[in-house]
Amino acid sequence: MDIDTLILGSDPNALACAASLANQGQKVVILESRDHAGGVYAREGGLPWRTPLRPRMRRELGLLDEPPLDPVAFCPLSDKTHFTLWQDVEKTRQELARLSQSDAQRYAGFKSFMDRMIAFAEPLLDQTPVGPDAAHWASLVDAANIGLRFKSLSHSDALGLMRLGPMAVQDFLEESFEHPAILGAMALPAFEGRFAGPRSPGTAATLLYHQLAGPRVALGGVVEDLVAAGTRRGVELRFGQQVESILVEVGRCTGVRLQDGTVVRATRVVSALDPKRTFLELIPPLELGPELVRNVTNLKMRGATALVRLKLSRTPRFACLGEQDPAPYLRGRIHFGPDIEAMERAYDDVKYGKLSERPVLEGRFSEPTQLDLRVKFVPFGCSEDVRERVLSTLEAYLPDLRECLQEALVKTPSDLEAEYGLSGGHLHQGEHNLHQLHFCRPLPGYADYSSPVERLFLCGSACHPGGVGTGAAGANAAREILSTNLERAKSAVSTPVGAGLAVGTGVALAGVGALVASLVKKPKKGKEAKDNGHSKPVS
Amino acid sequence: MKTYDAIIVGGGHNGLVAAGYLARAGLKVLVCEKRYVLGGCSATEEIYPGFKFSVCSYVVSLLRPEIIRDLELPRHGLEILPLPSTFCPQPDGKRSILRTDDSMESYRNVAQFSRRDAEVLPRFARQMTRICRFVKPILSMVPPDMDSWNPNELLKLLELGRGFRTMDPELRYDVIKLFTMSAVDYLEDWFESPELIASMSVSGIIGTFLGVRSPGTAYVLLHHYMGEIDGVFRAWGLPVGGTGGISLSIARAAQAFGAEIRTEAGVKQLLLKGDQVRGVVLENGEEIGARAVLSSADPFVTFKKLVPEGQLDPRLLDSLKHYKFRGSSGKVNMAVDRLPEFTCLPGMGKHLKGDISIAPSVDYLERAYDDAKYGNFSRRPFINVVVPTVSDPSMAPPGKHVISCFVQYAPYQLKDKSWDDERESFGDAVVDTLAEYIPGLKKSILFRQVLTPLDMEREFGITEGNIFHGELSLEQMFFLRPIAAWARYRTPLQGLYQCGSGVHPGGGIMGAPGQIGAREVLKDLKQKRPAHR
Repeated sequence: MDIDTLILGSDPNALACAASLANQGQKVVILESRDHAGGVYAREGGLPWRTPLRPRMRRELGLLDEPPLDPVAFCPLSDKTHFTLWQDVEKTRQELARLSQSDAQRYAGFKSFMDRMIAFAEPLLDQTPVGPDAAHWASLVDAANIGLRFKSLSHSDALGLMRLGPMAVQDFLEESFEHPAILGAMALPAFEGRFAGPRSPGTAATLLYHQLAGPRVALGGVVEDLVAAGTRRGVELRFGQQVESILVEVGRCTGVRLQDGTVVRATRVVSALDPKRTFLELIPPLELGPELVRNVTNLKMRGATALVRLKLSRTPRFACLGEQDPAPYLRGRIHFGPDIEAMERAYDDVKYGKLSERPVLEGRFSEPTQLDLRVKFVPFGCSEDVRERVLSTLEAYLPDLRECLQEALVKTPSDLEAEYGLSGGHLHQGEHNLHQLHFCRPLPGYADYSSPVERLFLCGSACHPGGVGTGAAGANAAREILSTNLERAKSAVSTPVGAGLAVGTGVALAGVGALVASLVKKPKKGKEAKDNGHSKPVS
Repeated sequence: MKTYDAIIVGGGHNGLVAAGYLARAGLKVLVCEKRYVLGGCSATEEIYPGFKFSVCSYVVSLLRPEIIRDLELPRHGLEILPLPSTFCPQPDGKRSILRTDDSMESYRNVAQFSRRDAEVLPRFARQMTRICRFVKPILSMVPPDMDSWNPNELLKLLELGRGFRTMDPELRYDVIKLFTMSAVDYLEDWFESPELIASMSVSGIIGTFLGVRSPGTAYVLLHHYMGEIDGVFRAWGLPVGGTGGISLSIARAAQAFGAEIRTEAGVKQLLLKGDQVRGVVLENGEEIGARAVLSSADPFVTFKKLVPEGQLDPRLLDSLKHYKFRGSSGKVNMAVDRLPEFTCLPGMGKHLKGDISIAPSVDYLERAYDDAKYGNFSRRPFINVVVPTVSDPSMAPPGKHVISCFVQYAPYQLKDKSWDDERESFGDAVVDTLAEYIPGLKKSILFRQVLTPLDMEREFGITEGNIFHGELSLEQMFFLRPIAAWARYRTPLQGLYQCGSGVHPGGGIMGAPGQIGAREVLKDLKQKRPAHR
């Protein structure tokens, strides 16, 4: 039987893409080099948690809702005290009040600001990015939609959002909070997939970005669920398949060649591998042109997170909890919390290629006797003993850790590259830096999941929306592949008349969009200017 | 009470430019400067007998050409000598990066470090220049009102959008990268030689509290290609007579148009009637009336000191609290009895005429920043050295020289210490570092002046010693500078305007805030009948 779509890799994005395509009746085959599906997201992979699958995809594939982890974060402190961020605002406020009254007071306001920002930005995750090149009706409708939603934000929220983008997370949080440990706990998600510290501009945007997809959920089961959903729809998984190259004939992708010499042909190929592997290792450079090769080479993919799995004989004792039962605190993530300055210092070390003295540890008990940790910051090619550094850091919080430790598995960025093929050991196939987001992800001009090679697509977390919304990139890619729109537009752009027409209508529509947006805004103007104009009433 | 059409608070270059434009339009104008000398941070002072120093700012590049033209500054004594080179000595005492106005010479020098980089360099410069063409018009525009209905405002936005849209996609990607990346990350996309990258990255950190690896610093690289002297792109210059020479030429131009200028006339507070500005009170108690007051002081001074307490909405003051000043630089000025001699390039040469940077490696620069992050001055700082007397001997007695060192980092807030105790040890750190490259330096010093951010705040009235009146970070630029609601030169008080570096397009000896501020005042005043005359 002929293969419609051949997918390289089997992480949740690849599986989501496969299931969506199969749902529409395509014959889909997944090629995975290992002997099980999931890549670093597999149970064996050692990631402690992930973000939930997008609701739309869960509905489409008939998967169950995933309850968020509560508490959001349990934060034992080095002075043997602790505090907890719960899903519930009031409960959190009480926790914070033990450390700082003013932080507690401002928490609800901060949370509701973030919630409004999330409400604005979340729909972007499920949309193919609209960039300045946008020329299709569909994308312009999307653009107008974004514009309208932006204009419907209140004046101060709109400005807040614009300021937030380029700020450093520390500056951003210090506008609301003051206690160093609280700042640290709040800031932590901002470094996911970044080679940056609390004082690095642009990290406030990553903080927002990592909250868009909702609170983190447990890792278990997602890969199995997606595999089951795919298999039911006829997706075929082939394990142990080492792809040697992607076959390109006259600018068009026709299949892949495996290392054993077998050629697998398909109507199209979708790569869930990162762009460096896809473009630099699997395709001859002549097919891409020097400009693309240069841009791919320059992609920032500096992995700085190590995964550590500690297998224990029992749940260790928490110094900060004394004789209290730790179980209710251990459902969410645990922030073995350095304060915000210690985080900056941990980042300082990685800048110089060293493992920090006190790495930032974010963990979760995936089982009562298994502690999975993300360790930041660990440089690529780290030669120091990560295991020992992690254990000695943890001992301050878990005094009897070594007694109950049975086994420690460590995956440094270099291990992640070697074992999972993640270039640079980067878990999200590309840093979440501002210039590598939205219509610039993975590369400008290819944010629609296409590639310079006809019938070759990308669907990994290298694409929008990155590593945050697990499966979103795959689902978006599937939608783009299915819409004949894309394939037609590609040929239309190749003729100057078609391009001119598309650009013309695009500009016209943008104008109309802006006009509509402004009309909607207008009635509010007078009132708002008074509300937010900072002017003192004339006395 | 004496009355004017407009009073300008502060006789720095922006205040003087504003005065020039207002007087040129026929208004009766008064400039009130607190210090004994004009120029604010761009003043020349003889702080050691026989030696003239550009005490604070020391080079010029961005001074808008239309200002030079409109105010006929050359006729009033403005003369700028181009800086012909950028020089970065290496710690091995043998090699150095020397880029000059002679492209073959630059090629040969850079090729010692990397042949590939030497070939890329002209391409890089071309790319920067192309991007400058997009960015430049933004510098002379009033930031759009994001909340407005005015078709003109919408048009401005649309125009910007169209400029961006019609750009070559490759160029557009570079614009995005320049605005968001760190200087080092961006340069690493182009170059491979770590020495060259370090020497070029330093332009990204001047005046900010960020390191060369901090995102957002790449943008300032662009500024180095935006300099324009006599219409020639990419040139930095040394004003004859120091940076005070620029201020004085603007002052003379303003006076020629009829402006009055008073020194040692510090403004204490604004005179208000309701929320309408009526004039100013000087520190000596004198009251002067005006229809409009333009403040070229920074936003903190303007809103917190000049405006009487209780006159402003607390929300504005709250936003102002979030506006980042965080001065990060110091200045060490020296009078020396002989020409500085670098180990790696002894004797006189083009390298001494240009701009000299102590920036041996990216890690060195980043460590200097790390010191500052935790509240210390850099023990081994980044230093930008200029020896103005090589090109302009009038600044010192024959055979003797003036050395100007811009030093980073010197954070305004020291941890558990005070600048009054640390001033001299900071100066020593600078001299020690420089002496590693210029062995004879210490013996040649006749006089040394150390300016910490605290000194700059005290002496020049710039809050926290920030030379740009507030950091030039992305969230404090364009329509967000200084505060979102009041980024368009006006203020909540009728008749009070901002025309300093704290408004778009920000700091540097550019003059644009003064020019645009004056234009906005004229627009408003035109709608009302003159009060007298």
